[in-house]
Amino acid sequence: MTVAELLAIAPLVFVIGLAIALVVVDMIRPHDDRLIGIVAVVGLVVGLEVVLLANGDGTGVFGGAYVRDRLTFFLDLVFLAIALLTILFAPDYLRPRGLPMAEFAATLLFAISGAMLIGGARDLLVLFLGLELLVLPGYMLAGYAKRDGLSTEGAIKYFLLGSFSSAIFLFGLAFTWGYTGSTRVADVAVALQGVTGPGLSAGLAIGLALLTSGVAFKIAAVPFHYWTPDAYQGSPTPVTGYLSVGPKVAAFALILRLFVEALAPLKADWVDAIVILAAITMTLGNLVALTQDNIKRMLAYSSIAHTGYMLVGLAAFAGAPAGSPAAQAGLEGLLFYAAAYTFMNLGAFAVVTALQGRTGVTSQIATFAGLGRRAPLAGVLMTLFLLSLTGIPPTAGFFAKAYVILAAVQAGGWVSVLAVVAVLNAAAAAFYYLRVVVWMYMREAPDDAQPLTDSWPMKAGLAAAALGTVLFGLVPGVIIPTAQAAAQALLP
Amino acid sequence: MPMELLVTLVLALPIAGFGLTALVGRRLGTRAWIVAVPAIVVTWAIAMVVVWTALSGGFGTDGLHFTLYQWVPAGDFTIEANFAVDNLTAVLLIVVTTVGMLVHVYSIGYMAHDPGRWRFFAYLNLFMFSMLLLVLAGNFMLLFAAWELVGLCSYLLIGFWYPRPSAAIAAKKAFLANRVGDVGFALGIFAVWTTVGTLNFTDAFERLSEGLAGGQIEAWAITGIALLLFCGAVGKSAQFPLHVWLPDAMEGPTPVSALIHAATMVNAGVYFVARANPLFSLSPEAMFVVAAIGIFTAILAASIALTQNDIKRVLAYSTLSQLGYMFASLGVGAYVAAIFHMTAQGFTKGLLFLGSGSVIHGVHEEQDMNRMGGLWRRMPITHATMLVGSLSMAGIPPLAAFFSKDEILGEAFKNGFLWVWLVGIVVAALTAFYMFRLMGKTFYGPSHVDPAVEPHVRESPRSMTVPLILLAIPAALLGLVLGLPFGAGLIGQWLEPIFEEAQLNLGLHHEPVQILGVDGVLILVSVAVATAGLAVAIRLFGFHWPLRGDDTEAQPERVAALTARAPRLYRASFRKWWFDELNDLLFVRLGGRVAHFIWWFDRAIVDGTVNGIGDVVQGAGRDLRRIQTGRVQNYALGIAIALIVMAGGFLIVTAR
Amino acid sequence: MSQSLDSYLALSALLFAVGTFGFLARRNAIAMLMSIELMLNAVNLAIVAFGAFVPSLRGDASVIALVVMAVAAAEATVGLAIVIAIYRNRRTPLVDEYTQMRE
Repeated sequence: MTVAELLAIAPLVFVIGLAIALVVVDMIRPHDDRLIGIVAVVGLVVGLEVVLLANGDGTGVFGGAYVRDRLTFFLDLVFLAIALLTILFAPDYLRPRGLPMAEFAATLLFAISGAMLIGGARDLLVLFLGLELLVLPGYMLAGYAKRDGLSTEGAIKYFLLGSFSSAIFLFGLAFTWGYTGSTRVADVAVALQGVTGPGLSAGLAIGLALLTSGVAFKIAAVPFHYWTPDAYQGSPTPVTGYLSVGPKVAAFALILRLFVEALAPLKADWVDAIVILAAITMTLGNLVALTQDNIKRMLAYSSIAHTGYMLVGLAAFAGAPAGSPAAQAGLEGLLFYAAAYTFMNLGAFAVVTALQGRTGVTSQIATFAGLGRRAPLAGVLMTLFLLSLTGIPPTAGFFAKAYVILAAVQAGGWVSVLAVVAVLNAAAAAFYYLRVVVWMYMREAPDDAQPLTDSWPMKAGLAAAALGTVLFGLVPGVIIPTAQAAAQALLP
Repeated sequence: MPMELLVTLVLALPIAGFGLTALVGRRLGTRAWIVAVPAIVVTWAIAMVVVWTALSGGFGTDGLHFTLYQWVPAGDFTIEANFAVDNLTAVLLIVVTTVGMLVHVYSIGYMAHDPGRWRFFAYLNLFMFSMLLLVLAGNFMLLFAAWELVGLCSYLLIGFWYPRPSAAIAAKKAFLANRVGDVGFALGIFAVWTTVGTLNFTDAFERLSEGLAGGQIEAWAITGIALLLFCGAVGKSAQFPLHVWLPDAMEGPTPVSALIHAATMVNAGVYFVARANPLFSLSPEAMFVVAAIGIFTAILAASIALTQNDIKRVLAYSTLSQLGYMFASLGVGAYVAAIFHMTAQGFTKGLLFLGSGSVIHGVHEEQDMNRMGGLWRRMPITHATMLVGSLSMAGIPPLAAFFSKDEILGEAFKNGFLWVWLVGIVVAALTAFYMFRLMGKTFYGPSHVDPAVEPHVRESPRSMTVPLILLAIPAALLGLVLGLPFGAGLIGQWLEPIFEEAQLNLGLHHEPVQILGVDGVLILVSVAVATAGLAVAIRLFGFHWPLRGDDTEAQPERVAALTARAPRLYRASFRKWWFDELNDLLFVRLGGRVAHFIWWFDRAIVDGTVNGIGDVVQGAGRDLRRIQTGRVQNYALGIAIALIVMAGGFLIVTAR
Repeated sequence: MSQSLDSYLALSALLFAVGTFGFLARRNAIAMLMSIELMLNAVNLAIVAFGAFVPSLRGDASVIALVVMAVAAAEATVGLAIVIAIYRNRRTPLVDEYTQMRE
């Protein structure tokens, strides 16, 4: 292995090493949550440095099965940000409930390493491995509060349906491999050149259907979303925060590597499925979110809706002519959306976590009553995150939506109709987000309201999430070039 | 000092004031205004320098354009944070900063006893920032950002007294109606971008008109874009059928009603259509729609205002009606007149709302005019200033709104929109009537004030009366300063260059005003109907003649008799007042019936539809959530079925 | 040659369908887990069949099949752990009784 190759896999190896290190530290000094937190946070900051150092020059490793290009670079940054934010606000929830920090952090980092593996995978088998490495720790995290009936119930639902969909996805992968004769992404794309349309064999068509269903499950697209509300509601809140962004962004990374790179020649065949999925996903997600009274469940349905918006970007790529600006803009929009969503949604979950600093505080929306008065700062931040999720300018969420919708309008055809659906949905979504704001500012706090936690990691996490939400909205220029370079790396 | 810096400061000061007040406001206690109000006063001073430079030609005809920084650098999709200050912006700046500043000062007194005052001042500063951003924005995206922000501030401020359920409901309704309009607005912006690939106002309008001339863009596309964008204006400026939110918005504190829901934010739609004049003037169909919706809203709202008893609601419907006038004016191509009326209305209505706030304050938070009356002795300053405002609103020369209203009606007539003129004349009469009905019921006639409150009624503190006096000055003199000589006043000199292209597109040319010809006749007609409406109202509801010093008694029994269809009607009135009675019959009884019907239609049908949309969406959500049964088997079955459908779909697609 | 590849693939599809049916029909968490294993084995059958009949795929096939087995084992481990955890809470392995969260 050359130095360049070593550097290319360095971030991945580093994160796995960090996870193992956390387990070792826990063995040496058991139950020292503070130490674990420090090691994890310092480690992840160093990890970000390693990613920046490794950059993304397109070096292929393991015979081209893993590649470090600009897309890998972008995704690694997002994944590490997810891990960092989650670990910053997790202790305030875990400690009062007696849940160990070390196993949590280690499991989370193993999952993140799976996500990073997907991000750079250019081989179908590596994609599958990364996916499993991502979801298996996810199941464990969902059931992390093992004495809590809701947590285990969410976990078993997530696990059973997740494994079911993994099998479906694997079956599709096997078909694709069998009919194209290679596991390499690039070779698959070459083999598929010119077989699109009526020339496509039934086997490949079924394979495509299996793959689409498999990834639709992982991103929680309707009608494959059933696990989301139950798993989100049941999981410990920091885990819910992670589940709402980590597996979602990773699954979108899978889509980028699989559908946008390998299956791009067939995009005329799968674009219709994506358009339909996007439309029903955002509509159902938003409609049902309107009626929810549990904030975690509401955010679960909201995350389904956001999947729909991200799919609009994918549909713009698939619907626009190859090589057109709209195709690239669609991918850029998707990536920008993923980054923006990471910060605003984790921020919202951080506030929910801070509210649940004592055991016994539910996640009913009523716990937000009078928050604006009880804890002005948390109230303002929650308002910011919710406004961003709504898409009110000039927050990150506004640009994310504008980006994908503009790309869809530009792509023309049916995809433009999707833009109209997205705008209507964004309008409707305002109601359930603002309902929380109304609770915070227009209701009186109950007398027995518990104070919020305000540990330093929590504050740092909230500050980072707020900074991202504001910065990506006011100066999107800080991230757009990176997203553009990542999108370009995907296109021939 | 470079102008760019000053314009940036105009935006920076209010947002800094917001930040500081939000952070430390709670600790300031009763002095919560200490940051917010000075920030706006300084903003006003700076804005005046900018305005002076602009109007004295310091920026040339195209105005000052500058880019603060590149907002979104994304290849094709590049958006700059750029600002434009031309004469149109300058006129808006005058209204926004002046009324804004006075409302801030006024609020010191008005909100002195409210425990949430720091929140109030923070929101108010945020609103000023958003509104100034809206006015200064040089592209659609920035404008949209400001558009949403002012909507958000309006939502927060309407619901400011949230323990009242009506306030929370009103806030929600305002938000809902605005969202409906904003969907169209957003789609319009996307359509502009896909059609011409830029969101800069100047470039976009240029390319749209070139595209139409060159044949690359179809005429229907221009109409479509214009109408989509107009949806946003309809929502923000509360035009039919999205007008339902504005009367309810009066649940907010009165300074908010004055600032946001009378003088500034509701004008945003008018401003936008005026700003987009090169686009709208390309489509006669769109212009027709603008004019029709405008004049329809004007008559609808005026007829409702006749029978309302809540003092703020009368003013709210009056605002709706005047906004309708402005849109009608835009629709007939009388851009200058529309902006002129907006300026006059902004000051006048701001004055009237603050005056009504002073009255409400004086009678201890009572808003029902049936429980006021005879207040002119107790509140002389409020009375005098409101009288100026009412006379102006009624269109009595030489007060401000007379000039602007007259210009609208005259232009409509001369541009060939006879129907707009006819309806407009009726509205003018109704306006005079309901304004003096309001004055009569509030200030003249016998007192119906709660006996427990009566002895405590006195003039409001100076921080409230001084802004009233300061607003009364422009309400009285603005027309003389800007509107004379007719058709060639200052306002025309300032604004005509901006609307030159639109005038060309519409094929309108500026004719000299014939004061002894058609224009003179039109002026006479409009003054005559206004005086008639005013006279009837004075007869019925009373008046105190300021110079003569005597009173015209109110005749509440007649009003009651007429409205209740009492049989004694004849005996009391037959001999002397039969002419008045006919008028009463027309205006009060028949008019009342019609107005009641319209009011009912408005509440039951239009409002019901808006609420119905919300209900349907909620209902759909409730039904859909049942899919989530909680059973893994059902979920798996759902996934399996979806998989089969998907496989079938793929087979069909590929077999095609 | 390809005729018999198709028959292997058909058998694999059938096995997959049986696994799916088991997953949908059984209420016991353990039985559902076994059904998933069946589905994964069906995939493995298809992979091995591809390897056996298409010469260029021979090398990859065995590697993929082994990886899939390893993943299946890992999945079973995690699954059993979760089943045990919920059994302790609810005292039942029947998943249709786990309906505290819905709608």
